[in-house]
Amino acid sequence: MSDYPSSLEHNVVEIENLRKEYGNTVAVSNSSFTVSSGEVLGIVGPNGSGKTSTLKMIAGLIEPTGGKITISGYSSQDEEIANHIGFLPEESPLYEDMTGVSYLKFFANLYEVPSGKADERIQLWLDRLRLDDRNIKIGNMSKGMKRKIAITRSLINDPDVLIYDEPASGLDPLSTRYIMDFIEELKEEGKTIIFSAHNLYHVSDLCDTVVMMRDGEIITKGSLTEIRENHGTTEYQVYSSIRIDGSEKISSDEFVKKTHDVDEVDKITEQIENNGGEIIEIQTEKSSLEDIFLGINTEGNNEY
Amino acid sequence: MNISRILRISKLELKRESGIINKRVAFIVLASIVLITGTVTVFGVSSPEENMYSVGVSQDSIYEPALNEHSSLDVRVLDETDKDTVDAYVLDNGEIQVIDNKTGRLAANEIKEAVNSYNYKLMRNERNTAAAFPVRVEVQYLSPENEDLEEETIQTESQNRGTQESDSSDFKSGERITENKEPQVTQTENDGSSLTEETRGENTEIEDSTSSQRSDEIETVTPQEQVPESNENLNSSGTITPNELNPPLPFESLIFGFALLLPLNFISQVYSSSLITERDNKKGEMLLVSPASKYDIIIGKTLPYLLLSILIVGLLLAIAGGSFVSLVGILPLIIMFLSFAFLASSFARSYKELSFFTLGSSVLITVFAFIPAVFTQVHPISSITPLSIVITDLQNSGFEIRRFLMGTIPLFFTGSVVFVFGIETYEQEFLFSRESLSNKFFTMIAHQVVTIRSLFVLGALSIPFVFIAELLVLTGLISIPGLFSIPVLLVILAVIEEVGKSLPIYAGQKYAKIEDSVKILLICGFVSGLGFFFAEKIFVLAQQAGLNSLELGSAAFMNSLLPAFSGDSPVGLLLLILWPFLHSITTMISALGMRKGRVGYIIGIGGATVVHVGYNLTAVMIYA
Repeated sequence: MSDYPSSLEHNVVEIENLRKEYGNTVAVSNSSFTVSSGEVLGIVGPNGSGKTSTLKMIAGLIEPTGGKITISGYSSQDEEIANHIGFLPEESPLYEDMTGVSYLKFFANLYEVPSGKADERIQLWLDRLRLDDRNIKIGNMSKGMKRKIAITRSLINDPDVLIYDEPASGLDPLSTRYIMDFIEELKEEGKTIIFSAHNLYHVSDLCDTVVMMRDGEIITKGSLTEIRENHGTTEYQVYSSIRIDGSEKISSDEFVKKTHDVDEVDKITEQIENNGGEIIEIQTEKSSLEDIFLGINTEGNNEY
Repeated sequence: MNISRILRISKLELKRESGIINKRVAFIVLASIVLITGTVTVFGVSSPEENMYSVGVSQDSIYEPALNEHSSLDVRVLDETDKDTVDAYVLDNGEIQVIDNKTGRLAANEIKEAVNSYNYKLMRNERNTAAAFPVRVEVQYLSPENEDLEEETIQTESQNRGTQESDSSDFKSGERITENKEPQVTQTENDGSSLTEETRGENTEIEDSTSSQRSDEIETVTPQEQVPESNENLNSSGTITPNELNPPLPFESLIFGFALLLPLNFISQVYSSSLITERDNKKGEMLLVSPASKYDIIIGKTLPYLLLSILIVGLLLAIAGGSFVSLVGILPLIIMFLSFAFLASSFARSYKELSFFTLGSSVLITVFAFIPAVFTQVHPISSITPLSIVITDLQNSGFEIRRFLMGTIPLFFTGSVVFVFGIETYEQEFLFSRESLSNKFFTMIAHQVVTIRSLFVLGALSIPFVFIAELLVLTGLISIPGLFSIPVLLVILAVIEEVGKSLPIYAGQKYAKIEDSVKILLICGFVSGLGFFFAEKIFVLAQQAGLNSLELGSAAFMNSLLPAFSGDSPVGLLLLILWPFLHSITTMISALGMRKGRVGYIIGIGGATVVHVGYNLTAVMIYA
């Protein structure tokens, strides 16, 4: 599915001024971003920030109030768009009275995947996800197993774009690890993925680009480096053998002085040397995504 | 729409459990219903009066065969000495001896009826029917205003045409005579020939004027045919024999008709239960993001239940001896059951609400279908239900395209519109919304409001709903005297019509699809009213089926066709000029009220109703 009908070879997903209103509530306000082929974009934000609404609009599940969505060159009005998307909602809404395989075959049929190819894909993905009990009823499966079935369904039509809403939501650490590793494999295979997550470590591990949302608006977006540069800080830690003004004691013969100002580092080292001390080490520590996220979201918003 | 996807979804629907109702249990219940209905159809229904009275006869009584054919009589061969052991005893000379109580007297009446029926049957088998039926009787059904005549009147005339006229000199054609309803008892011999005729009715003055009448000059009717056709029943006449003056209730056909509704009720419950499971834990989302369209999904899910309904109804009709006409006739009823079950499953926010909605809609549809069917071939109101088509078909009483259309078209359109509206809003936001039911309803209507032109279509599409609602009201008021029912009817019907026409505007305005300005609301009111007016004219079936021959029907549908009034007076001229615009004017009044919110809308409806009723009353007073 790499034959794009338009010239949008690079940008597989284009979102322009996307807006969603529920009555008088604005869930998503004029959001715009693009996702390139093979790129992984993470959408982060507190509850109610508009992440799920954005993902559901891209998946074609809810209709935008305004704006434009283009995926693989198809507009959201085009029925063909469904064949280019694999959607994984936050919960795993499966038909519990069916077996895993029969459920997947049904969806393969809906996507008009030839029977032989469907069997092949089901086998492949379930093997890779290490789901052995695939012929038991879904109702008897664990949450992790159901998640694996849901992920396989999202891949059954070999889509261009995967839209995953909280892919590891509610899973135990082991299942979470499996799922996140699997998504990383998909990334390495060149899949374009848009996903939301509460766990920012997953986002920083996987994403090339991050979109941060709050109250329906995109408050920042860019690569991790760009976001750190724009919103993060670097802390300089000067470890010395003597105490100077403002330093903290690490041990009886080790002290540290911290600063965010790179010009001050020289002044600190000079002060230590002037007082007969010895510079043990100078370390730099950049803000984590979580620090940035918390910093941004607590600005003028004490409810978070 | 994609046929292969529809079939895949249908196949899945057949395989999967249907929500809270286990498929195996559903199958057993459905099979039981079919079995019971089939048994009823094949073996008939025992009358509640079966073997109610014990009657004794002697060993070789000539009355025994006659009495044995009457289901309410339990005939026992007894010596006269044992007559005290039964309610009545028929002596060989025809005298009836009864126990001196109410049961005994009723038993005697039943015996007379039994003998009458038997005699009638024998006479029907007579080769010389002129001898058997020497008098031709024409029944004149009187309009309700003349119901104060307690005695049944029959109009008689010479049965002879040509040579017989001279023989009937003692009897003037068209002369009215009265007959009390006491039965004639005709003693018969075992060979079935009529021996004597003793007319006990003292007031009966029917004269034998046709002893030499030729058999080919007789017009005889079957018991089913004796009831006049609905479109010509009042103030019209049909040929009938005195024995057949009391039209029988099509008891078994009615029971069958009711039994036919049971599987439809049950299937619609299973269907709605299955649909609501798609909303359980948002399972349906995965279908909605798939390439299957909303129409593929709903048609695919509905198809198995539609086919199952058709299959079961077809099977039962085949057992009962119904024709293809019955099956086609019942199809709109199946669509109604399924469409409202679909709507219920879209609106309900819980299984509790679903039960309430499906039960409510099932009861309403059942009442609408069954109650008028009781009057099949007796009263024109029966033409509004497809069950009357089935009953008429089962009784081989002929097919009338007008009655068929009347019984099917409104239901077909209503069911179809409900389906289309429901499918159009079969979206994630609507299905999983926790909004109030009224908001969901208005959302569904507002979804259809796209342009002002769409209001013309919506005004027109409201007609089948308005029509069904009006017929329901009509059914409810049919037994109330016209003096009271007509004013009530005029008001209720005006309210129904005003609500039907203005709801799309209200919904559109509520959800900001329509600008809240006087000018726009007036235009919307005009357009919606115009759409309603045109659709109403197309819905002339009410007239066609003869409903307007009813006093109530006339009141209900007085504006359906061209007005009876003309411009021969200033008021008449005004009525005539206003006639095409009445619906537009009143809808504009309702629309103006909407500017002040819900209360304003209600006041607007009130104002529109006053104008509407005022117009109709003026027309009634001047021209009725």
